[in-house]
Amino acid sequence: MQQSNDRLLRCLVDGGVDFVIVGGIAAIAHGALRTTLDLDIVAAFNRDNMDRLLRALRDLHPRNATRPDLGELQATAEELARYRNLYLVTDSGELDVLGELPPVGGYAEAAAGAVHVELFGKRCAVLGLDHLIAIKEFLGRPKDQEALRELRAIRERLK
Amino acid sequence: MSAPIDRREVFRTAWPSYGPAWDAAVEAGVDMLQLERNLRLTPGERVAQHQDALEFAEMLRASMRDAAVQR
Repeated sequence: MQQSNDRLLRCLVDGGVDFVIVGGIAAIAHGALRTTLDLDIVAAFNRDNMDRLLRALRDLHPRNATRPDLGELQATAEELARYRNLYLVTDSGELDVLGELPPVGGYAEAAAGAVHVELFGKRCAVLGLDHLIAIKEFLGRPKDQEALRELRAIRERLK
Repeated sequence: MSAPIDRREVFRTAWPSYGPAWDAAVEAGVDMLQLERNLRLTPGERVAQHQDALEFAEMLRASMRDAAVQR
């Protein structure tokens, strides 16, 4: 299975899902060099948005990333709205749907600081550089330290 | 004498110091040439470039699998 972030993003945008791109793809959008495979988004975990998410991904046959053997995701939008995060594997690759993004907050806070850019012909919200740096500082893992060096240099370069 | 792969000296002389975070990235071995090149692209071009790299890597993996089968 090949990771097709272009197809995933088109499905999400066309499906009207409220989301902000975070993680490695957001870092790449800001100019970072680190490579990543999967697409991470923070989304509003409410019934309407989860309903749009399920419809948007239906043709991509979403499965639970940790238990793909269980087959296609069977949870309803009401059930998903009670989740904190959702880790999916689809026919177009992996998609992590996060409900919380410490220390930034949830979808509303991420969206408030997001930048809107054109990706694969679709207007997408991408987590702002300051928020991205704040998250990496909060996580503090070795791989985050490496990413932080690039992101801080980019912020300084763009001042 | 530094190894040719270590381009820190090149980066130090090619660009001014934009500040401590820039200097720390140079010292950590971040490829500032690629970073500068990336910053000249739009966000959309950067993400599309990443998708191209993923597809190239997948093609490479498939070729290696095919080569292993033929051996």
